[in-house]
Amino acid sequence: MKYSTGLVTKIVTYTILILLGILFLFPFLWMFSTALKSDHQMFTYPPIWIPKPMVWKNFADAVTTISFFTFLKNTLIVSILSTIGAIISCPLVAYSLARINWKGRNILFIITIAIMMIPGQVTMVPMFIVFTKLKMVGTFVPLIIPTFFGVPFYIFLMRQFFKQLPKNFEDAARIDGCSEFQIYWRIMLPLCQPAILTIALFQFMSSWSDFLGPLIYLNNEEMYTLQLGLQQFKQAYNTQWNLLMAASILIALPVIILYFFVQRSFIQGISLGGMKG
Amino acid sequence: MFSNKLKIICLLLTSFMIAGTLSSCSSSKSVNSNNKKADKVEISFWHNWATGPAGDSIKKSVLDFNNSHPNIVVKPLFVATDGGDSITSKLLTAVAGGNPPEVMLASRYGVAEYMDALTLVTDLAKKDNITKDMFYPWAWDEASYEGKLLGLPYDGTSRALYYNKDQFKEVGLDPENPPKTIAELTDAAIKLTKKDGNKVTRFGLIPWFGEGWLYTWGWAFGGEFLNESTGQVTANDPKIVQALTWMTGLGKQLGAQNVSSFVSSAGTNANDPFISGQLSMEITGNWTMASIKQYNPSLNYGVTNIPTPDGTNFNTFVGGRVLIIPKGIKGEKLDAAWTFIKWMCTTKEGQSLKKITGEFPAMPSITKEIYANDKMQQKFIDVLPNGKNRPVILAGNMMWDQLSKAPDLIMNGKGTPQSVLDQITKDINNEIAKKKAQAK
Amino acid sequence: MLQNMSRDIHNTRQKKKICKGSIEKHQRKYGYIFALPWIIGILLFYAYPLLSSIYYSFTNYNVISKVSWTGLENYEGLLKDPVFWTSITNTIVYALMSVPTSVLMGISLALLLNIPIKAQGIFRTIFFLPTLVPVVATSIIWQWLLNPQFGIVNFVLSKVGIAGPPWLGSPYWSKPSLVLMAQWAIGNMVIIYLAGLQDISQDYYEAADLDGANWFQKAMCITLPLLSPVIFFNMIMSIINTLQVFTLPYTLTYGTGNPANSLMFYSMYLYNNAFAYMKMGYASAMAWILFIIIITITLFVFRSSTKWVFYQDEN
Repeated sequence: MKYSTGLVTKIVTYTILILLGILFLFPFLWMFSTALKSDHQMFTYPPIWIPKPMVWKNFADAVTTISFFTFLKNTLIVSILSTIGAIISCPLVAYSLARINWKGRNILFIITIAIMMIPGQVTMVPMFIVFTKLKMVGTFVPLIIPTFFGVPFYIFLMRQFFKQLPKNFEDAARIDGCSEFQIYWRIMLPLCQPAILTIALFQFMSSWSDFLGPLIYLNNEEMYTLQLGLQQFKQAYNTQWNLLMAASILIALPVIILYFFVQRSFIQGISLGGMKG
Repeated sequence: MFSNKLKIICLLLTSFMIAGTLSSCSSSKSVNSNNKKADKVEISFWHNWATGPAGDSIKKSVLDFNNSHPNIVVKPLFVATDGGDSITSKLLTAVAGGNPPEVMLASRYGVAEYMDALTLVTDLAKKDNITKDMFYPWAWDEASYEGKLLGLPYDGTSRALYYNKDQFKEVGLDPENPPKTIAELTDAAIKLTKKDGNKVTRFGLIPWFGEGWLYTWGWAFGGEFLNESTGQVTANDPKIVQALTWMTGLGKQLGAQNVSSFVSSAGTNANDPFISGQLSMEITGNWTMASIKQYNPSLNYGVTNIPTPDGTNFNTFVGGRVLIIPKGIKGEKLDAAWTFIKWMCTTKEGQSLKKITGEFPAMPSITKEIYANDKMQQKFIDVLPNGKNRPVILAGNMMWDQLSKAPDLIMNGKGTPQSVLDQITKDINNEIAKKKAQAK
Repeated sequence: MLQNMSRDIHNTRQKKKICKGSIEKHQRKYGYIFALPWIIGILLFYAYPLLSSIYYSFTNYNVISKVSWTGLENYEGLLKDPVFWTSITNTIVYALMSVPTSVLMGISLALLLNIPIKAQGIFRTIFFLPTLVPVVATSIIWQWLLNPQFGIVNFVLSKVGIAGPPWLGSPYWSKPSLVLMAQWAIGNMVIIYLAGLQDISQDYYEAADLDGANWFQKAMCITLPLLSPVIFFNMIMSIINTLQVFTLPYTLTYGTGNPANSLMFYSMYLYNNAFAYMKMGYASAMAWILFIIIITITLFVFRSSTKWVFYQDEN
């Protein structure tokens, strides 16, 4: 049964969202405007909002000045594979931390959160040495494999989601003789679909926008990702802002599309209401 | 039950296989290429210029060298800068991990601080008769520390005072007679500043904007930042205090709050207010000429040497780069690397390519040759022999950071020029002493 | 017959008891097994870096040279270092400004975006867009927008009769400017809240409707409590992230923290020490001091969470 909203609520909601929405879109519009500017119109005062002419060619230039499509392919590989890793490992670990009673789970939980509190700048070099010893520097492996073992942020998140579910939900299934794994796979996971989609989205975005990882682990321009490629618009004393903005917009597109589809499943009303039995 | 577990295991295995194949793909590529060119020595060359004239100059340099040296293959690799201007974090991690590149292009400034990550070239240079007098003095000096040569100097950059000729005419100043003394400069700055009520709509000059670092003005006023014989930093040299006092004094006169806010959001080249006509005069480098051509070719501007208190003895702040060989490179790779950097830095072929970027070779003879017919560059070149380089000390980056913040601190009321510079001098000298003690 | 039945019931009850005992043992084994990938991950990827960074904090490590033990010298040096104190103050002040704002703004926006209206998908995407802009572009865009002389924001404000503040040019307005920029990128938090809202059963709302509750009561008595595990998550992550804030202010100020060091945050100073000043040992000491600060604050929030976080599985 869909939850129906009153007219007043609808109007108020629309008003606030539209006003806020314009504010939020503002910087993005500026970005778009810059992407369409010619060099001559970039640094004028007063600033020009609607460039005349609109240089759509900047978008074409953006993908030809740098090896855009190679970088795109590499970024897709890294992002998709690391996302698969995250959604396989994190819900499993989180389920254990949230819904199974075992000795040591609280300590593991605390360690998980504690790991996030150390600034990456000091673990960067030792971690690099670990991967050097494993002979994995210069490959995509350091950017992908770690997620297959778990990512503290998502483990924490999924644990919270699992804890949102009513108590003793799965005990009935346990008594009936289901294995833990069956409970996990057949009952808990489907209930946490929004959460799993969320961490998939986040991991994808994280890999998509990761700069430092590709910077220190990749040594071959053919393997570079989009974020490294974006830096190529910076010249010695000059940055080609119009091309950089155009490239940034193109880079954002796949994630926008992914997000649009993920959020579609966040529709209030389609939830665990009927699963209680 | 089993089917589910199996599904997971299969998925995991497939993913691992995909990841593994992809990663081994890249490493096998390099193995194959090694086998093909077994008789050629391959060296990797890290730089941070992918596009624009600088990117072109790298490409051409590598191409020309590879063609003229059939036994060596230089493989350039673009490395993105992290934060400021440097690619040191990638270099440091590579050295720590034991797989550095054979050659790297780096800012000369601050190289002494990561000296331990380099293969020093003092002996190599001596053996090949490469000496200081082949280069501009600042080029050699900035690449040396306590008699050791850290790398070969590659190029140099020079700075001058740019001024907007149209705006000069507008306020009654002679566009063909730009300021030579500090007094004339101050006068012009005040005349050129336009206000609209409380808001400043055009600044005549913002002393620390662009390349107006305290270094620039400190040297213009005749100060020295380092006592060569004692190795002590002298940031509080009376002439430098004078320079800073003048800088902040003028800033306050034109409206302190406004000046700080104007600068903070202008960034580097993005929105350069000189190019858009909101700033009448600016200290910046020879590279800005190319920017103006690109972004506002109709700007009517002139270039003159940086004014000094008495209008004579002009000098300039010189920056530039060096080619270094990281630690751990040996044998034929070392020979190849040395051959490459020698070609880039000491031969006519290598150095002439600086013309592509509009910068200056580190060798005076080549500079004069390639820019013989370029009138605009002459003002920058004339003053090069008298160029000043930043002191080569073990706390170079820290000193740079602190000095560049000094005007901002004073404008926000957090000290006087004397007190701020005294503190910096003390801090940096302490830091150097600490580092020297630790190195023992 | 009755005797058999009661015997059967008794046996079944016994079986259930036995089952429960072995179920718990079973659980313990599986709990450990399910967590195994992560345990291995910690040992493989985090143990060595974390332990070595503790070790380095007691040395003069600079990544490339010989390491020698210096004991507590780094820690003592930090306590005497004025920039260290400035950066701690800046970071804590920023966190105090940013965390409550983000939490309030995030929840409010998520609740709004959860109300079924026609263009819901489009609105949700609009608020999410800013998180996709690369930092290099974000910093330049905001520098232009917030330019006190020529930026659009002050221009619009002046049309409404307000004299715009100097934003990034004033040491007093620089942190609020950063908080503003952080709110712009709040889309990430909002997604998490949206996902969390999906797990709140409709049954509760329908029951409340029958009781005649208005939207405020529904929000306070149903939504917020049931959402509290997720709110808790966002709050903890917000604390951890703001105390480690680095990329945006570093890019904005080119590593200087200007004006007047007002944007010199802890991680920026840490990074400069690690890679620019060649003092990785010093930076490691900074990292562990930060760790202690964060974990103290987090423990405090954890303790307080028993009062307001409502886990359905733990009544």
